[in-house]
Amino acid sequence: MAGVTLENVTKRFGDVVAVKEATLEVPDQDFLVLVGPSGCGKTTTLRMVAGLEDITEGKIKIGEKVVNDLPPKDRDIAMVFQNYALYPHMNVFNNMGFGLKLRKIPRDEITKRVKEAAKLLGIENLLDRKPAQLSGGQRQRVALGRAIVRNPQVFLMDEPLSNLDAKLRVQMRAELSKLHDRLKTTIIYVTHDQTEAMTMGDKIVVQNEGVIQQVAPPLTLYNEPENMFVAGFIGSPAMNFIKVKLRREDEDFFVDGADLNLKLSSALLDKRPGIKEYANQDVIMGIRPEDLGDAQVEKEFQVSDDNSFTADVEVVEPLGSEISLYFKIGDISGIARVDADSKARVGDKIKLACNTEKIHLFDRETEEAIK
Amino acid sequence: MESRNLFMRMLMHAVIIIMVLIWVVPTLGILISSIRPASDVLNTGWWTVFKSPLEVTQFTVENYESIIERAGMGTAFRNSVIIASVGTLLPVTTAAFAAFGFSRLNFWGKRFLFGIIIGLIVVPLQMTFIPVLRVYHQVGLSGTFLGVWLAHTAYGLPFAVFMLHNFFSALPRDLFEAAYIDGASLLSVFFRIALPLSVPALASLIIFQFLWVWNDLLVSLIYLGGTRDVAPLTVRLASLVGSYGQDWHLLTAAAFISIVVPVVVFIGLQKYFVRGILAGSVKS
Ligand SMILES: Nc1ncnc2c1ncn2[C@@H]1O[C@H](COP(=O)(O)OP(=O)(O)OP(=O)(O)O)[C@@H](O)[C@H]1O
Ligand SMILES: [Mg+2]
Repeated sequence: MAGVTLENVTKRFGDVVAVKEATLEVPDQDFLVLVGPSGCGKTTTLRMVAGLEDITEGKIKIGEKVVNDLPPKDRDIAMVFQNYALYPHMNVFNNMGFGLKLRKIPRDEITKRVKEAAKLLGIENLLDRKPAQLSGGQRQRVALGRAIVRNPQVFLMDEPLSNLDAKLRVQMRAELSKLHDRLKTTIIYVTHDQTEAMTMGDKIVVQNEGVIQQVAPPLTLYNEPENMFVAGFIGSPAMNFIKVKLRREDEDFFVDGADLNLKLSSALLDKRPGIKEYANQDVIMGIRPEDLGDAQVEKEFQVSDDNSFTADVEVVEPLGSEISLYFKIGDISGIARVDADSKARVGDKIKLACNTEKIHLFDRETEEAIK
Repeated sequence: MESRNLFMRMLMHAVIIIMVLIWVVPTLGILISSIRPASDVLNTGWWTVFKSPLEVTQFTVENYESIIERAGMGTAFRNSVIIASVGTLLPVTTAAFAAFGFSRLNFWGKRFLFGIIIGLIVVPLQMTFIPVLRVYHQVGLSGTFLGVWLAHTAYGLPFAVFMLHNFFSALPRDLFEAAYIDGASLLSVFFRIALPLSVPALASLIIFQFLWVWNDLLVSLIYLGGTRDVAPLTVRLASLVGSYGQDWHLLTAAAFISIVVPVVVFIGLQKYFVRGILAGSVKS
């Protein structure tokens, strides 16, 4: 087994820069998830690691070995394709054993390894079938099985679950995590689904327009986003962004917006001392919907005049355990996830409370988080 | 709506039946004429046998015996098989390699070369006779099977490359990449992935090329000449028409022999026309 290292890797297709100066370290046995919007260069990054795409600039290492000029078959990696890419003319057994056969592994050994992997994935009874006779979920497992039997140093997976229905996806998600716990093989996993990223990854790489935005464990990414893109991309519904002014009054700091006037908690100021340097400047405030509450029923934190504001309710979406409120303050719209006990109705003016410790502030120019 | 559908279906069936008749009736005529004695063929139409179809004595295999022995149809048949089998397999195999290269490899001048090959599809083969024949005379290829195999390969290649290239290019890229990652070399990708998946395309190409070579008269006549020991069926048949212009009973027997093989080839390859060979491979 081995880790993967990218050093200043750039990929250009003609004028299009698909991946720009990516530097990344994937430690051995890690489950790394690459996430980002469509077209941000995730697949390209993965294909470069696999050796299916040349590298325009930079260096890729698998273990200690620079693999820039190594063909895919000599990189000791296995890839699970987004669309399965099963060999349609071979049955499941041969699909899974193909790579071993090409590597001249003895017949008995192939049978043993295929059976083992099939058992692990619960597809033992399908070994004689052709891909056309399988359901989507089964095909997915065969594609995974084909990777597993090879026992490679690194698994590369390109949105392997995107073709499955919601239920199967959740199930396979858990199974993949279990599989990783068991095999301990390094995995680089591409997805554009941030829930998938948050639930599966030891570490997550957020990419946008070919540039790596942040590399961090899921909770760090959620709690300490480095910039507005990451803050907006991770979390659902997305973080609310409001243009505000950071007002200083003696030792206290306030964010002033349209109809908004919130006092920053001292805990936040201690955690992010950089905020003080932005005194009396225009900044952007970010607050997650789950850190807003209906002042009347809020239980998680103390409500006061210093951390609440009035808003117009535009849409109410009951989700059972909680309610999504689409609100407006002045001409700014936002979303709050409030307690299911909230009595808010469409058209009401209600008081929303804000957990000011969870406020994020961003530089207006650079969109970087203020720390 | 119902009745309209029914009408359309009946119309379809009627058209198909008419087409089948157009093909079957003359073929049947040839078959029956070929097994009737010469005197009958000259005096009555072949359909008269239906008056008493069970009367076996009115049929004979004499015509076949005489053409195979007297007119050398046996040799001609063997020659045709030799010419058509190699004349089919050689271009199809070559084209498969070439088309795979064009669709899966990147090399300098690829588009230009491919353009030339496509362009050659429209070159009339008559244009090539004189220059090729002169070269053949110099290197001693005229009048040999090798010469005619090479000629058929050259004439068949452009279209075969074009057709297989289209087919290979339409195969999903991920399939090949999966194989490369699995450790396949270019050749094993060709033999274990590309070829098995292109069986329907290969089968239809083989049928086309086989029919073309089997029925070809011109190329054989030009490059083989009329020599009996190398001339294929078509050439013999043509000379039969010349020498026995009136011998319908012999002509029909010879013609029937030449029909049988393509039919057998077609029926034999029919099962390879599988639809949906890629089913289940990739989700699109
Ligand atoms: N072969 C190619 N030729 C030209 N441009 C390409 C090629 N492959 C990818 N690109 C471009 O590179 C960029 C990144 O593509 P990539 O496939 O890596 O995106 P992605 O993050 O995987 O997106 P998705 O989530 O939609 O799969 C895109 O702008 C794409 O148009
Ligand atoms: Mg992609």
